[in-house]
Amino acid sequence: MKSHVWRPLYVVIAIVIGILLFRAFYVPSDFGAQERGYTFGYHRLSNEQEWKDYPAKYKGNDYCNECHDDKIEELESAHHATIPCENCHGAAFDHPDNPEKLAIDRSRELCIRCHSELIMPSSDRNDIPGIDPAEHNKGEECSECHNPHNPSLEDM
Amino acid sequence: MVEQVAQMIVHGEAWTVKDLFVLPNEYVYWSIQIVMYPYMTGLVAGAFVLSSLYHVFGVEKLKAIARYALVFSFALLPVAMMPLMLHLSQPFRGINVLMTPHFTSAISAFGIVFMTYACIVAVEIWFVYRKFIVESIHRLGKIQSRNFLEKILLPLYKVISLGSMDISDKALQADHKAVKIMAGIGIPVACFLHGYAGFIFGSVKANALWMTPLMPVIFICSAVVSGIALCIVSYYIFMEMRKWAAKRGKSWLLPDAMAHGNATMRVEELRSVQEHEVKISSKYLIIFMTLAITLEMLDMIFRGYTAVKSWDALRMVIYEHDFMKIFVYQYGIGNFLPFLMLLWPGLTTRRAVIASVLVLFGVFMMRWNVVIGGQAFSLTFAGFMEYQLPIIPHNFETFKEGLGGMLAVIVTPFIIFYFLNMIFPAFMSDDELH
Amino acid sequence: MKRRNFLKSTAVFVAGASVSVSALDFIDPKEILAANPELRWGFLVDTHKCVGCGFCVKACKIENDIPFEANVTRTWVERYVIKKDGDVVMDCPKGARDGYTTKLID
Ligand code: SF4
Repeated sequence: MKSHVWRPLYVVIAIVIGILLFRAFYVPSDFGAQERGYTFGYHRLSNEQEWKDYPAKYKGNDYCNECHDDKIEELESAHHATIPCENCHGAAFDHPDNPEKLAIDRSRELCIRCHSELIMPSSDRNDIPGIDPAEHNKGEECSECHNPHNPSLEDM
Repeated sequence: MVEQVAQMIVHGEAWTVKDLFVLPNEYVYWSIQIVMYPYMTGLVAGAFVLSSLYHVFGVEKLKAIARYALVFSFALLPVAMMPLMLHLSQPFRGINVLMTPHFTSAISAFGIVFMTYACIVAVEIWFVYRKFIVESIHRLGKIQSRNFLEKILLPLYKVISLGSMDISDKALQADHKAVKIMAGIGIPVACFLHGYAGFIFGSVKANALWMTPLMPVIFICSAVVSGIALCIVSYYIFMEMRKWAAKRGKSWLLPDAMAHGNATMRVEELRSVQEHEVKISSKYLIIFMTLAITLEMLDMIFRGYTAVKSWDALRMVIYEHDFMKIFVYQYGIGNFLPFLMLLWPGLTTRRAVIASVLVLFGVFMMRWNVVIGGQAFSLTFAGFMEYQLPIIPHNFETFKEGLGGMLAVIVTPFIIFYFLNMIFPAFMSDDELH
Repeated sequence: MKRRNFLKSTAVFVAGASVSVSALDFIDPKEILAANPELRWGFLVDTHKCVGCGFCVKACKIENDIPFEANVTRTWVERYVIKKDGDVVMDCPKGARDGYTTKLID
């Protein structure tokens, strides 16, 4: 049957083909999580490199250890062993190139994140030595008396 | 770089007021544009259903408004997508959702649903206007010195006609049949397009107010209601304009007159058509309204009766926070008042139109209460959030997600319709078209 | 599900969660994956160990370029206190970006 009635259908088919062609070129071929059915996950093989190249800001203690092994050693033999360097020294970024010096956070606010005494029976917070920041040597930096790498006063 | 990032606006912070315990990341993210989205798709679907009443079920009395509704539905179509684009903070990524459709995320089907519907409406319009297009090609082709508009229109028509110039009786009959079939397929697809908007909400498990399988059906019914109401109101307004233009001999302002030079209708004729169409349509409006109200009531009663865990928070929202919006604006002014107005004997055109305006308002409030109301309570069920529509924009974000963006969405279909009217005149009488 | 059972049912998790952080280095993800090809990784937090310092929130914001001053976070830590009379009070100031430093509940 050759009739004008089918012409719009051809147009629609042409549009669909056009979209599919565009899609073939626009969507990466390994998009989606093929082995887990018709679902799209976050992980895509072909952009792994993209993510690997994405610079991480926090580098971790091992990175610090490459140069500051003496400090790490000191830290690991004391109470603050579990605290990562970057919690107080700030994220490493590209240190020592950029920034050359990390800004150390010595503020009271930093210390009382853990050492302000709270009543938390269901949390290990209760086992951490705590003070009342409003009473305990107000206005002074904690590091004036306590060595952050080895905070116990007896050892000083 | 860090400073630059710090200046970034938090999407939602500008218009959210938090109360009690609300999680730090919770804002009323889905703002006015997401209210507009189901509202606009609803209008599209509703207008299409109205036009199908004539094309499929042969309700002869709706002939004039049916053609208008069809073209208007086509004009509304691109606007159904506009709120979504305006809502996205990264509008250029919107294409990703269209290009990677799959069935594990409701919104990913948008492209398919939307395109299917768009094709059907376009094809139906093509069949309805084919004779007119061919005749226009002949007419415009004969003109020696074409003006600017005619210069554009002639090649446009040639493309649209797809090269089929056959307007013998047999061919026209085939057209007629095709229109009927397309309109027939179109109804379920239109309902699907809108039921789909309801589905997106209804399938959000985390949101107690939306999570109901009734949602798509409720949406469809109120969609048809609002679509018919909008057609009545806008048809009335357009006819008023045409009467005004006809009286003062300013018909050249009208788009179809601009393009085709023959919109000279007599005022009395226009008035009788207008009155007739408005009244008949309002009859259908009542039928669908009854359905819509029943369903909404059913949903409410069902929630109250089953009283699942989230009902405590829901009840707070429904009966206290949003009492005015739900019971006074939506049900009172938006449903029962127009219902009575339409049922009261001696219906006049003006009363039908005012009732339709109220219906439009009511359906808008229903969308508002669903979308904004659904986000009124925090996921903790221990706090509330309030949305404050940004009226005076102080940056682009508050413009597009505020009153400005809303008005832009409302105005756009009318602008599109004006120009679409030059190509497909929606108001021409039958002798001028087939 | 009891915490014990939960841990038992996920053998790999036990290895990860019950030893201290520094010991995690002994586990080679590649080896484990080779032994259990069906493995799917998860993220486990022992809420007893959390002290509410908020360093994770701070680090997360910095690592992921989340505007630091803006009140949004990708991860956050909530505090729930169950009183003797059964009332539950909860807060989460700034998503706990600056840790929990007072006894006052917001
Ligand atoms: S607040 Fe975050 S970083 Fe601090 S103890 Fe809890 S989980 Fe760890």
